[in-house]
Amino acid sequence: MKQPVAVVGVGQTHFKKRRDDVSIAGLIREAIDRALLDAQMELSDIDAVVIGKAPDAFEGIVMPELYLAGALGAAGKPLLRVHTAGSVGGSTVIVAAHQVITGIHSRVLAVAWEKQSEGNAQWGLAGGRSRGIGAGGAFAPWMRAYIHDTKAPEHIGWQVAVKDRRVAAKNPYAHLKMPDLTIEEVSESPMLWDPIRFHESCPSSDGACALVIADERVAGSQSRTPAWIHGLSVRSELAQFPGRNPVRVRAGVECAHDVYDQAGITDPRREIDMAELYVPFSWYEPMWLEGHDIAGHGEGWRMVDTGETELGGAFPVNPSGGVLSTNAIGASGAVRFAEAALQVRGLAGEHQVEGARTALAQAYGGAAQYFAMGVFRSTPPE
Amino acid sequence: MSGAGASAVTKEDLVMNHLVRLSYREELSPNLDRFVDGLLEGKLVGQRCPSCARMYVPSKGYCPLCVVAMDESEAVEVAQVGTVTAFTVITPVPYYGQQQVDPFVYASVLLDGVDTPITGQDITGIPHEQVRSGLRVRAVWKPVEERDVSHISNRGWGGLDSVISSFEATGEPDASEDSYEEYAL
Repeated sequence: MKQPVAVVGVGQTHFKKRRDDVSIAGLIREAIDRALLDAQMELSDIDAVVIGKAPDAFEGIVMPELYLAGALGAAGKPLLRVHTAGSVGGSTVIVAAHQVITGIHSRVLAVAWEKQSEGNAQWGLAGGRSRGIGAGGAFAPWMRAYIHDTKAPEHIGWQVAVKDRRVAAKNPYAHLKMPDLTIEEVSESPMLWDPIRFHESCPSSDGACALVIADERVAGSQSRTPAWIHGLSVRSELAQFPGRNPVRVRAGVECAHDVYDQAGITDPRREIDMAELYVPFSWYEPMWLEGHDIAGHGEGWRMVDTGETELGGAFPVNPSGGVLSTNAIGASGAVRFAEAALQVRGLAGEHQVEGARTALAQAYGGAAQYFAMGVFRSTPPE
Repeated sequence: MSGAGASAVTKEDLVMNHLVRLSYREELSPNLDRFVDGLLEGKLVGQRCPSCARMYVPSKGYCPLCVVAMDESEAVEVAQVGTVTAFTVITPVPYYGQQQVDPFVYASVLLDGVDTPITGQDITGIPHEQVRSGLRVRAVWKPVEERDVSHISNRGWGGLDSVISSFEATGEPDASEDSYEEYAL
């Protein structure tokens, strides 16, 4: 890191299937206002704004940044839009942080959102053509390959779904809260894209997430604990090439090792206290635990099986309820970073991981070809 | 004068109908052009990288691993039989333009001698629950007069289902896993 920087403000909207009560501008402003309140700042304190959202076809509104500059408080300030498919929320936070790390700005606002009820993401993904398979269909063969390769029992996927939907009831902003969901209900829900059943798939949400990132001077004078950034990394690779392994994605492995190295982490499973991983379909929890070398080959599903990834377990994953409970696509990556930051600040409320000092945030996108990862700590880099 | 003009505006005039159409004509790149000509003749034409010898179907006109351009001299007709390497069964989600209502197979087929699986293929001649990795299949072509290549463009070739209706189980013994695991997905 060139200069120590930290997340000093986090704001999320309440996520719902339809936020008919607000426009897109109102939605993002709701998240921004909460982030500024948390950071004890006004919009006028912000030097620059970085935004991210999924492809325009998902909302049916082209280049929304043109009309949102006012709501973003970006008039007269630098405004950049980031685009890396589903990982965009994570990349947006990273681009915003880079503007502070490099000393260009002192306080930068990162905002990511999706108001999916404005359009139809399935139509957008299919390019309007018939036989669209959605993201679930595209990832399903890779999940099957993981199951085949590691001999994971089928209840692992159901268990991740139950864990995330139940814990989401502790998160006031989560979309799907199902505190009583059972393994039986998940296992009996309709099969959508073999091996993924209805309850093992993310919802389609409206919502936004904002983070304020500040330099050492500003962060050091905050009354609330900042989340210090100890590592940030993005990686990408081709969607298809001969010999590509989309289960253990090379870009994902390298991205993880890059953030671990920056944060001085040599044993991620022991040295990281919790993780917010992008898990839109249940099987991606064990897949990313292995794909980011937190667990060895075939160990990821065993961590799920033994309850290690539960809130209260040795390595909690997605105590917010994760993407499985809340998925406003563009925002989802940013929520991972926001929730990881809240954890090390001790501000996660009912879903706080006891004693979280080091947290990992991860987002992925495209054909599992874009990665954005970050490591937060409660103490500044030495 | 301006007052008279303003009063003539009705509420209906304030409704905007956005119907925007842009038409492009763009020639297919030479490699896709050869691929499409092949499809119309019932052939699958790929390109072999002159550097690493990997076979691409369809080819992008270059090898993305070696970053080497490929020209007509590297074009090769490939086998029409291959192996299912990965698959799922899709429950179609309704959206504007979706015509599929029943669950369908979505499989990757690695043609013999080729290094790039063709994704999104329907598998026939076998019940859905018996589709498996390793299954040997052959291309079933649509009749020449029904073949449609109009959706194939330089920005995405959009699948083969308007030319090859499905891949059908051949009945041969399954391929061994190590014969395709490097190119499973």
